[in-house]
Amino acid sequence: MTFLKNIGQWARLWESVQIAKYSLGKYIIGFACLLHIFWAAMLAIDQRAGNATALSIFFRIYNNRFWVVVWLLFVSVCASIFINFRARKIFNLKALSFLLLPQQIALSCSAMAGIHATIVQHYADGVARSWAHIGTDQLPVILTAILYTVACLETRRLPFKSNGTS
Amino acid sequence: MEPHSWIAISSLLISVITALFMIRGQKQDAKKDYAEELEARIAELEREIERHERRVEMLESQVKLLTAEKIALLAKLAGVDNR
Repeated sequence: MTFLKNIGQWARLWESVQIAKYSLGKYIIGFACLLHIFWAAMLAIDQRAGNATALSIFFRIYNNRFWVVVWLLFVSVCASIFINFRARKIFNLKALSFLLLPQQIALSCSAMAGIHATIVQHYADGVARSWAHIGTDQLPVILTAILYTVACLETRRLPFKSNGTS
Repeated sequence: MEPHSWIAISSLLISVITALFMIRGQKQDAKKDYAEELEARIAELEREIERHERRVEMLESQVKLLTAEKIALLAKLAGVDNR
């Protein structure tokens, strides 16, 4: 019971903690945008980038390098448009947050591919390694997907007064 | 089912759940905003009522003064008439 109480206290503390004047969600979203842009660029330069576990899932779905690059650029552009609109306070609609969802789908796919590779103990290109090795390797993408989801949920609160439309 | 199919389906499912939570949060926020707006309006009206009450008190005291003045003048008039 005391343990649960402590967890509750920590949860409340975590909720109220603010380590900087400005919110950190934008950095997570910006990081994900950059990640997808770099993945798209690397894939455009060399098709072998598609052997990476995080990208292989898109190859399986689209079966075409061009469409994978287009998809990666599309999701990052959608999220960038959202940040741009929020930054300039134009179209301050809460519904704009849904522009973040394509990128969340992309990140979730990569994270799931990482989890799958960890479970079956081999990378998407067929290289067999221990679950601990693959799990450690794929953890950044999995955590990025989780953090991005949290950032998406946070964006439902407008940082400024709404103009009444949502 | 191929692994990539269930990965894609579960990712879509996660996004749908996230979207639902976002909509729910937006509705809650809208209610909160409306409640705050109403509270602000109530506070404003209360201030206005107080202001009017003060004005009524002032007018009442003025009426009392004028009534006293009127009574005094009437008394004076009655005195003049008696003479």
